[in-house]
Amino acid sequence: MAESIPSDSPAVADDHHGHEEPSFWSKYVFSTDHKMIAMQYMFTGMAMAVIGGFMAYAFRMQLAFPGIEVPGFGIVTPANYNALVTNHGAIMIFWVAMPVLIAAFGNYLIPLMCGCDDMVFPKLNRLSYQIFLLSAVVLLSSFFVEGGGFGGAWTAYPPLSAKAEYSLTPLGSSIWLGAVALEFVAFLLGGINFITTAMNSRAPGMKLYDIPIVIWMIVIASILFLVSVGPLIAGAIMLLFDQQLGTAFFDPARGGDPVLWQHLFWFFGHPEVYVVLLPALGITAEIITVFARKKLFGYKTVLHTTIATGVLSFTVWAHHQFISGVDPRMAHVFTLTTLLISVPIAEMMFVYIATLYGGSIRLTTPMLWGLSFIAEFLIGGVTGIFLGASGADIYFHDTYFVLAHFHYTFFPIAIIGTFAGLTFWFPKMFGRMMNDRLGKIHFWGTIIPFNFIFIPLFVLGMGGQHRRIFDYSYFPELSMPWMQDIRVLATSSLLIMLGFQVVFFYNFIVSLRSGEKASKNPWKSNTLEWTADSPPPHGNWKELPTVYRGPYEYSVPGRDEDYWPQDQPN
Amino acid sequence: MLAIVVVAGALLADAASACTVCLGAQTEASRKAFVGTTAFLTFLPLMVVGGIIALFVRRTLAQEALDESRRAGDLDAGVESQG
Amino acid sequence: MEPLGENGRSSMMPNGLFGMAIFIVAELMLFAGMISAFFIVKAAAPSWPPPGQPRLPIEATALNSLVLLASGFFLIQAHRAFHRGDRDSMRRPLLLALALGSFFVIFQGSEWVALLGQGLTLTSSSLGSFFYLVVGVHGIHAAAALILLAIATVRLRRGYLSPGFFGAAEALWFFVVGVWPVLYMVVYL
Repeated sequence: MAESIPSDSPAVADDHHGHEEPSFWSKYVFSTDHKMIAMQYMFTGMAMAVIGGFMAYAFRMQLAFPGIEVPGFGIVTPANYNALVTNHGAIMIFWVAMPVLIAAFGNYLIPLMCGCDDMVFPKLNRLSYQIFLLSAVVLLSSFFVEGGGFGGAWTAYPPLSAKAEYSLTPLGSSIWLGAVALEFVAFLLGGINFITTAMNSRAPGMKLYDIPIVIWMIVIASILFLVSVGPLIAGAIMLLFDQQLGTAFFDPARGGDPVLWQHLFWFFGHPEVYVVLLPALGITAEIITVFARKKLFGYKTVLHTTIATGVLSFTVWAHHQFISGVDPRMAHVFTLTTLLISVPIAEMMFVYIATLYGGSIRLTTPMLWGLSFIAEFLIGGVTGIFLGASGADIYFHDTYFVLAHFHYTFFPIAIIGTFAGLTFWFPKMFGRMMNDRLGKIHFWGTIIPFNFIFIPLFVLGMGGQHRRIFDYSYFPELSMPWMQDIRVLATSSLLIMLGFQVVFFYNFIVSLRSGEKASKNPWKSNTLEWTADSPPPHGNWKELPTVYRGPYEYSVPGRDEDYWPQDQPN
Repeated sequence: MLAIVVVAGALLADAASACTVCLGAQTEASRKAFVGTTAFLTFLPLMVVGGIIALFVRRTLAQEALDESRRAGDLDAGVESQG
Repeated sequence: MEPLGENGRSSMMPNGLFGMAIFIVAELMLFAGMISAFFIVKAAAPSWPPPGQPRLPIEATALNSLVLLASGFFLIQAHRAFHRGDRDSMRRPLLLALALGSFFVIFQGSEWVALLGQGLTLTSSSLGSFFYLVVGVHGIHAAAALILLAIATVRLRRGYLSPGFFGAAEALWFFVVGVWPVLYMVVYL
């Protein structure tokens, strides 16, 4: 505790302004520079995404071709299958979506867009990444202990997760919990930093309504995370005690209550969806305004809608428990609130479409990702309405319909949102332009197979296909030929999609080394990060900017140029 | 208005619904505890964070007005010295 | 109100205090989660407290709670002296707050030892599990806050105690003091 709250003494505030050339270690590994920490988060998240994608490949192969020896993995045993599915979910949410969307983009964009030289707590920021990296290592280590990785699903419901007799992973489940807890500590520190920087250290002249929407969304997402994570940490401590110390918090035979875990877990689990959704929505807002050359339709409406979403996100979480024996009176209330929360999100979609309407749209790679985010997330949102109604959810619960629904929300968030942001800010991050043609090939090669993976899974879900089944050939009504054909279709689409990611990595590396040099402001954007050099040096600006107007003044009548940077007096 | 709808929805639902999984082995006391703590966990963060944000926004908007008037003064001075 | 903070930046309050305030909200929810869990398990229990468990030391802990509240009271005095700029008359209440707070933590520890001897352990019943969980987590927070206050005392003596650091330390201690009566009523009564 004592170390984690640095003082405000000038000695601390100035320690990142050294002038001598830093060594390799202090530049790349122990840096307190927010941009370097953002890159560390970004690359760690990408590495974890590759691991999570590989897991999806292994278990999808098993589902499509039961019992085959999966190339590069081997035979998928039932225990393997459980561990793969569990860790695929946990990795993609906690070690890919969170670090990339909140931590990487938050770290990179908040100081640059708010006109600061760094975060207000740079050392806390470095500590946050180090704990995060440790959590990733701890998670991966759980695969190599006796009994293998945890296999009780990413929601870790007890009693399956609480007792080694049931989960068969005496150590793996505790290591998994420990990794998740460490990861939360990392984001707790990061979130404190993001909120304090954006609220307390903005450039002179930047009023609350001059803050770019993506910053607002990251700040609101951080608030949601910080407020919702407490009960889950309490639950995680209790579950760890149950696993290792023999307590009975979740053991009904000894006075505990297994539904209690769901209660604490989903209190966090549902706001968590909005924690990762909001940054992706914000990135999309930035991209759409720049490439439609139009003012964001209703800035204040978007901001207030976001706040409304944040408020409502705390009132919907019990909709995950409709079949867990919750009081039906409570289920009614949560059905109503769940349907209500689709209103602000729908409003956001209309705002984005209204922003596009009448704009001079340029279909660059980031814009394609931004537009596809709107389209694909819409499918995820609309299918959520079926599940939010408690009457329908009783039948859909734990089928592939649910699975396809949340992949239609999380894939646009974690993958499309990340690619949108990365291709948009790549010139700023690395000082070179990305190849647009390869970027578009990668875009279409990702988006089309994505829909061919998950639309079939909706069909399977409506056919009654249950989740968490290792081999459907044991269930005659779930292994009819047409169902198996659909599984093969989904798996082959996955293989195609994964194959196209090679294009991205090739483009990334080649553009990094020999792409066209990027100017300061290649997209002619208004926000402050584009007034710094590409890539921005240590400390970002020689002289910190002053802000004179809001971030979305595009195509203002009477001006020669169609953009009006925030830092130009007139 | 919203509160009325939510409360009405809560009252309309009947515990003796046709859903077989809705009423498990829980006692009435346990069900009440779940409903009560759900309300507690839901409204506590909204009140705490809402209070902090309201305070924060009020102070920030007041200060922005102050800065604005101060900066307007600075700009006038700048224009005069240039002109 | 100070119009502009460091480097001409808008700032509501010192960064250290602001960061700590956010942290405290997160911690408040941690306790809210544990309290909720406690109520749910308690409501499902056929009888409370569970049979065969020793009685919790309600009276002794009530007195100890008063010690903790007194510590908070002295910290308020230190806070006032600090913001008057009167660093000399701040030292005594700060040291008193620190001493009373340490007494509280040590007394709680001795109670734990006594209860363990009487057969209330982490695994003996759900009362025992929750007692050690809730009181233990509170004790960890109290210890952390006391370390921060001790550092603040050292910095005060050396003459470089900043408003941000002192604000953060005292905010955490006020949180520890403020949440305790609630925990006492939930767990002990």
